[in-house]
Amino acid sequence: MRVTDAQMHRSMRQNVARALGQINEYQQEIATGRRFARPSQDPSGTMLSQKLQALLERNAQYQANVDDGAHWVAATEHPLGTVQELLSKLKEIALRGSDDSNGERGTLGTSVDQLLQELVEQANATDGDRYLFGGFRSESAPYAKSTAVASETFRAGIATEVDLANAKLAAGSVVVRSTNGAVTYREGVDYRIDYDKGRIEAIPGGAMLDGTDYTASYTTQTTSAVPAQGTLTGDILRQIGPERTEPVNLTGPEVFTNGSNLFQLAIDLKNALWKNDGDKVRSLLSGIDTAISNVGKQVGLLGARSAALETQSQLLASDHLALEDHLSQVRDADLPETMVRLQAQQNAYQAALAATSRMFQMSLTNFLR
Amino acid sequence: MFGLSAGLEIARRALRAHQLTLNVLGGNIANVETPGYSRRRAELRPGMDIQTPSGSMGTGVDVVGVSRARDGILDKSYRGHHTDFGRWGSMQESLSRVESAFPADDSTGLGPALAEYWKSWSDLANQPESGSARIAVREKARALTDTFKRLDSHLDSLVEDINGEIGTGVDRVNSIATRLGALNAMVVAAKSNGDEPSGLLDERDRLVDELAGLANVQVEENAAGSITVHLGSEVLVQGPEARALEVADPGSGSTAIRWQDTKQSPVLAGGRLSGLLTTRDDRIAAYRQALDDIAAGLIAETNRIHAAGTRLDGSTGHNFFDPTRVHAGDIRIDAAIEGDVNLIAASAGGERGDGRQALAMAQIAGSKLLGNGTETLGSAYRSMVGRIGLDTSQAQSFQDAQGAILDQIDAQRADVSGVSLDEEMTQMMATQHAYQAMVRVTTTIDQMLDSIVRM
Repeated sequence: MRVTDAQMHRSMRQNVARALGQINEYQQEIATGRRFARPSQDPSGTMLSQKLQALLERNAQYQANVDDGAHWVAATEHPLGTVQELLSKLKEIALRGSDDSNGERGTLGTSVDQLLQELVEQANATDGDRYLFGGFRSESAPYAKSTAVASETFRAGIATEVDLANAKLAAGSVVVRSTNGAVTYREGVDYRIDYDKGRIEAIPGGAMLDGTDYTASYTTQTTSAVPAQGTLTGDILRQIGPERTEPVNLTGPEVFTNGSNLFQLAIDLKNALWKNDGDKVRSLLSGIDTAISNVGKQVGLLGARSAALETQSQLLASDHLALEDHLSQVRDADLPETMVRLQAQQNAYQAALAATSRMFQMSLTNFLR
Repeated sequence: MFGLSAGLEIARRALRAHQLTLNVLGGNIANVETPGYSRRRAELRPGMDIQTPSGSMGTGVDVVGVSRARDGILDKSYRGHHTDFGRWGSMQESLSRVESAFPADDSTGLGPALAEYWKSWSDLANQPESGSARIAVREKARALTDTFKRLDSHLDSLVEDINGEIGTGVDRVNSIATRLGALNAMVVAAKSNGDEPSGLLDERDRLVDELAGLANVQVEENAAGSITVHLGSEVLVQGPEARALEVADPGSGSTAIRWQDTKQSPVLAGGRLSGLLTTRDDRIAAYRQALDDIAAGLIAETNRIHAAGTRLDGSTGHNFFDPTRVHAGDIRIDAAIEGDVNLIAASAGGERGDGRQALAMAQIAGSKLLGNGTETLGSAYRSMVGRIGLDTSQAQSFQDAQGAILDQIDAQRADVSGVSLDEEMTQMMATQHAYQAMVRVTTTIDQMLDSIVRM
């Protein structure tokens, strides 16, 4: 085969360029730490590494959701613990009040009122600016305290004291009407009120009839109702896995009015104590026990959720490690190996250059004069 | 009569022959690096014998012509592979430009933009009351629409580039065809005079080589020395006549190549032009379709879930993305939400603390919306990037393979036609010695004549 000069030059150029191109590729690999920069260098590796990147991002989002959920659960556990303490105090007071050998029911009633205030405070507990027990109504207090009794029906007795639902009424606040609201009766003429005990009796000769129903409206000195503000429902969900959402909140109705209404129990208890009604106090004990066991169940539920979130968090963390590891295997350059290859390629490049320079020195023209 | 003057005549012809040989050698050496140059040889032949009474006598050496070392079979094979090389080469060039917008280590592409978008919905689901979480959703949605538009316009500008290159390629084919027609006429004229027009032939072969890289052409040479060039099944150049191609609807989205006279499209099965057309109409069109499918899927599903959600004012049935714009190139957020993030329907029931709809939105990330329920939006994008990578590496490896074959054929052609300096030098020395010897013969005859004259 004839070897021509142009051909030789061309192949020398190509060899040198090829060696330099390969060096450039290794250099890029070392500088970026990645096995490939363009999809065409490894299409399936590109797809896999981008998929793993997406999975890592998703994993991070689930982890953030778990952390956020765990925060909710922890924030809920705190007021719930306080509610448990308040309930056991309530039970203690009810037990002491069921036997009035010490004549302290009045004081106990006042203590219950304080407990009630604290209960409402816990029911309106917030995490930052969000109310914990409001369900989806998270921006306004779920419960409000009220001293107004709009209308209470009682059966009047002539010269017989009849109990209204509440004790310690605000002086002069009582208005008595016929059930259809048409007639308003006069205090001191038609009826007499014991504001402190919350008892009413019809005055003989007055306009009120014995054994007939009337409505009274009045305000109390202390809280007499804790109404819920709107519908307090809604599971607040956190996505903690591809196919898994977990509710992280408890709503007011689940905790405070589940089976027995905690607020009403406390209101009834203080009224019974103030009215010195031992039977009523004793009858409330079973309701308090139900409430204690219900709140205990909710605390247990929160504990279970907390544990589930913790388990999920660990799962996500180990997934994260596995994904990182896989991604690194797919994507990252093997530095020592690449360095060795680069060195080898450098040698090849230098050899090609040396050969080229020798080749150019070789020509018959050098020997002709 | 055969005397000393006849010897001088032999010397004259020999000196002329060697001078001419030296000129040819010089020409070869001068063109040692000229592409397309075919090595020349001065063809020497012994002069015709003359019958003399003392027997037949030689008349020295004659130059019968200058021949051109060329192998037509190698040319044909080179052109065939050059056609394939041109096709894959142009595809590789265009596709690697496509690829540059889709780096393997995706930190600016659609993958992260989608991930950030889902994340913003998930964050909103965690904090549906938060105004800043709503703003974040809008910002991430904007970033996502911008990414769609950026990728789409990247592909768009590549299509424009390709249209431009097609125009340039068509112009080049036309100018080569015209030149080939002119060369045909000159070659035929020269050959009819009995000359070997080596320069013209080299030029013609070089142009045909280049033409073969642009389009699939077949070449036949007739006895008169004229070549006929077929593009596909139709004649491009015949004798001095050349037809021309043109680009139809220049400037519009998709330009077509057709014959200037018949307005029919030629069958382009190889060469740069066919590579450009395939890249544009097959590959890039498919990528744009995939991108559009992802955008359309995102818009439809987001709007479906958003319409099922309830705004804070209790109303339902609103869109998140503008439903009249369903392409990657024009996707945009609904004007109402663009104006007020509180119109994002994050809730199922209308309460501020209800983030169920935002949660459903974040779950679109895992919904298999595309490819008949086999691909999520993210995986469809990854498949698209994978396809770009595969197409590019395929074009690259075909180009490399054809390049290697071309190199080999080129080496074989150089074997026949190339200039070797050592060879030319050797030849030059031989010619020089022959010339010097011939001069010695002349001097000797001269001395002999001198002797006779002095007698």
